[in-house]
Amino acid sequence: MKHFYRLASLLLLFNFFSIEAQEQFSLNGYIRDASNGETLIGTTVYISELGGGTVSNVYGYYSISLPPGEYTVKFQYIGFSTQEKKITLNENIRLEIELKPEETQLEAVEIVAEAEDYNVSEIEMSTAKIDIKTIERMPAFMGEVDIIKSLQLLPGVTTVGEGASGFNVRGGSVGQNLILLDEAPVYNSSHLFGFFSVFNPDAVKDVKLYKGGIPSQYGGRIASILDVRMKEGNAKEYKVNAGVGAVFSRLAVEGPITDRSSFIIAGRRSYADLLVKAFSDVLNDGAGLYFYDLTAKTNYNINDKNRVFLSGYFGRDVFKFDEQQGFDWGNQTTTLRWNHLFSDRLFSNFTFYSSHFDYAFSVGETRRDEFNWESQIVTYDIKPELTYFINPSNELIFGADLLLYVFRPARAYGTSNGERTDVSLEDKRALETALYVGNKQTLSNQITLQYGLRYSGFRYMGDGTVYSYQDPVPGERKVLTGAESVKDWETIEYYQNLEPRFSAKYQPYRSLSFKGSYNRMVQYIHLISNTIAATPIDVWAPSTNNIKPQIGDQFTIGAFKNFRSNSWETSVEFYYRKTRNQVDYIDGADIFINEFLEADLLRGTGRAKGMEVYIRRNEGKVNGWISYSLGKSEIKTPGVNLDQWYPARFDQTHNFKLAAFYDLNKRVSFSANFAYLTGTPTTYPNHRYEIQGMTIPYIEDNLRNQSRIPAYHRLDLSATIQGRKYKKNGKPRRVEDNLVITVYNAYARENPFSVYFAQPSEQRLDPGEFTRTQSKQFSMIGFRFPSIAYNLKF
Amino acid sequence: MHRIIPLIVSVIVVISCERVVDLELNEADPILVVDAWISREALPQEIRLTLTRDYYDRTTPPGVREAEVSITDENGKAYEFVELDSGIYRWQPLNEIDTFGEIGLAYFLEISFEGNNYSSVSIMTDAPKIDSITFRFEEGVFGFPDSYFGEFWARDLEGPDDAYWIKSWKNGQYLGRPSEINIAYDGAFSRGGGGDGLLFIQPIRDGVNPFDQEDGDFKPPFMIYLPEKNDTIDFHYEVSDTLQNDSLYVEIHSISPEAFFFLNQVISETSREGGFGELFATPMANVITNIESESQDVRVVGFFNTGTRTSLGRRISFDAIREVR
Repeated sequence: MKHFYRLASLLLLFNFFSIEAQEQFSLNGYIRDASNGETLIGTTVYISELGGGTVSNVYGYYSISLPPGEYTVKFQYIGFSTQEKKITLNENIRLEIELKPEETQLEAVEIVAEAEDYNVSEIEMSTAKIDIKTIERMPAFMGEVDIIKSLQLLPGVTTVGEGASGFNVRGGSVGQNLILLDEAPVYNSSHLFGFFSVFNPDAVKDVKLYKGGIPSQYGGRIASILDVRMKEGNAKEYKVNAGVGAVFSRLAVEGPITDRSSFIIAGRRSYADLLVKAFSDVLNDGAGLYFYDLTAKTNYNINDKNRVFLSGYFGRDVFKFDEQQGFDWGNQTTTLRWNHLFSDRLFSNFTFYSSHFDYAFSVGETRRDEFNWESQIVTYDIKPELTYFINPSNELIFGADLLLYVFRPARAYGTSNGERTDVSLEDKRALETALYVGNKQTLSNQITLQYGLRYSGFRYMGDGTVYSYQDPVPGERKVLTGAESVKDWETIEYYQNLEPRFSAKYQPYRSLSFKGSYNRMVQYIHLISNTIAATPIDVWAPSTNNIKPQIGDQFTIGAFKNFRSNSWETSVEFYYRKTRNQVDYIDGADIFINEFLEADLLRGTGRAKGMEVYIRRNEGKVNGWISYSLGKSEIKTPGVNLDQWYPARFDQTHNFKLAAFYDLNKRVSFSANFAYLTGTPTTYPNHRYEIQGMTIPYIEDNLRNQSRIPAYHRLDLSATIQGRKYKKNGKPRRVEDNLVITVYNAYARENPFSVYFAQPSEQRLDPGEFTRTQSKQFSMIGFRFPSIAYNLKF
Repeated sequence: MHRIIPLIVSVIVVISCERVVDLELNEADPILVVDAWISREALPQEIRLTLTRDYYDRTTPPGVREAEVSITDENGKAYEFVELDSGIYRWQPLNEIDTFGEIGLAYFLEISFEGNNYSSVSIMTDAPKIDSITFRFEEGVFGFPDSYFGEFWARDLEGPDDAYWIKSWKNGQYLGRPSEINIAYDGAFSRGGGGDGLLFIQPIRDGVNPFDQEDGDFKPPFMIYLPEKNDTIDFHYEVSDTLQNDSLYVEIHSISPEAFFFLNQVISETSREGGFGELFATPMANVITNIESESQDVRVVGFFNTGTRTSLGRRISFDAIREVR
């Protein structure tokens, strides 16, 4: 490792010395969508004379410094017509670009526009990018376009089934993914447990998942980073986007405020309860089930050098059994950002955000007998970041991150016949810090390197009570040895880590590249979840004197090849990840409102390895992709499974996905998804025994996850019918509309969510009789699920 | 927690399905099962020794013969358990006041069987008296009929870490389904649940009610029957000239904190209602045992607990109704 740091600092130094070696001018500006003024993230800026170039950053800004001269610059972005400009660079040039979307009609397909080769030419690997237009065309559960469900069709991304919150990356757990919405973490990405995700597709501009080769500006989770960026709002004209689906009714409004600013506001709400209320009185006692979210963003261009953004998300799921009793949860995020250009070459962004997730339970039929419980995590963050476009060969990024966490595992009160007790747990506080630097260096047309270092720290702070436990008997609940009170903001434990990141690309010729990467990720906060699938009531816990940060090291190599002028993209990647201090649980761990939670947690080692193959056709009447992942994810924890490696709960050996699109004509298109996943590991008993008349299952040697539930496979189909573009009199209609018909689970397979062991008890047992024991397979969705949705834009 | 969740998930629209599957489960060698729950009273006490058997096997478990079983307290007083029947070992009191054990003393269980020794320890605990049993009326909702719900009134003993197993009987029939296992830690659900010295909290008081179904319809947990309609009575009742008013009998058994964790695990391993509750289900694992085997290679399961039993019964009548406002 030492050598790596030395090499990295040498390379950096070398850069700084070489900066002023030759006079250079900068070509820079923002790249936007001509139709609505939205900035475009990841647009390729290709300088023909160099045989290379740069890409626009997440704010749509690009900057490239070149020696004086004549250049041909191509701006390419998938789904948009490429723009070519000839420029004479003898001073710094600000060149604002607007790209026109390609018409999505049949003819356009035949005029093969030059598709981008981003996947081959960029150094990035192990990323999954899916644009919102593709997501909108895919068949979705109950016709509801869903970002997270769509991501699950890409290699290395899975789920344990419908209804499971979140997603799993390369055999990692749900809590090992960092989900960012305009840079603010979203702690629970699900509506209705896990049937839908919290992101409103109407307000999302760009989605990118980093599975490996993670650059140094990201940190905090070990399996992946999902970076979701919101639209800024149409800067040219007012647009209304509305839709009625089987679950949500949606409305989004966007438009310019002044010539310097625009806004978008998008809301969704489930409406089944409103329908029920209209026709029946069963919900009149206050019962109800609904969920909604509101996403809003605005921006203001102060001048050429300054731009500010304010965005927010607010969502909630509400289940009420009656006026008094219920359960609800939701996320809230607010992000304030300021883009400032110190110079044409020095781009900066300052972010401040807050993110909040909470849930609450109320049970008890009267005020005299009730139980109320709230749990919450609150985060505040300040994050300055600078990008220095040194020269065409070097792009330096550096910044800092300062995060304050407040964990409120439980504010809970019980009342028993009028007597009230407080069973709340103490709040926990922590400060996470990071300093990072990274450089992307183009050594030649063939070789690009990206290297960086993140120095992260985590301070677990008072006030509160700090518990210490005996050295654990492997696999068992730890015994409490002491408790100590600490003062406000007193440091209880401090952790620090260096996280090196390194990626390399070798591109022998334009359509072929080989890439490799190594990254270390450190995770200081942990999702405590001991169920088959993650749920909204899981709690987040900080690293403490008893819980160590999780540290993941991942190596990835891959080959990327495009065929027929980028109309076919292919790639194969191999990865290996080792995780230290992975959170594991004792049998029967009690994770809710447990003051001594730490006593029930174990520390294990994780390892995951796999191969991912991806083949994609970008053009033609039939297009789409195939992805296949072969993977293995295991855990070894002292005291568990006879101290042997055992499969992680999210281990799926085979994972095959297919997404296909077929345009019949200008108005009608079809799409299909198919997924095949190996069944997830589970534990089956061998024996049973009776204690005090109760029948208890017994697992020989208490081995974990030695069996698997049956495989999961599913086909979904959908048809989209566009409304007519022209009125009968030949004039264009102002309204653009479409109808989407979807059949989810087309061949009605009963896909298992779990196999469980039950004791049927329709009849009470006679004395001396013993209960029946049986195994049952539970399927979340056991039949074909058709739905219809209508969307319109004007 | 596990009691709140079924409530949440029951309201979600059901689009799921379930079916019984036959699995080939790996074979395993039978091991010793120790079922030793001793009550502090002047009645015969029994310890059952059996062997584990195939998971799907519901025949009577094979009893273990010719084992030696004894319990000794910390002062050296020995209680001999004599083999009575296949797998049943019994201690017989000498007379009507020869009570088993004393509160606060430690009891050591020793078993020897097939050349191996097994041991365990438990401290005798105390249980609170049940003050009364009442019934309250609730109007039916969501297909559940108008019913009376039984409640028992008792207060957790002062001091932390008192745990109890509340057993109940309706009309003499023991409520022994996995979902009917009713346990309390300091009067509430869990350690740190804040119930110390409190009246048992409502869900535990309510945990004595059966939810039986007949032809797919729920039956009221408890009901008052009158032979004919009587307009002068304000209370709810049903007309029947054969049915007698229902009765409720409740026992509180004091248990050790370890026994509470044992039962808590039994609930999560056996009370699987399926449906959306599966979202919240924890992975299957063995429940703990407090029986130790001398030989590392010989496994054993089961539990040893020494506690006190208190009880009360009542038949529902108009006098037994608690009005709730």
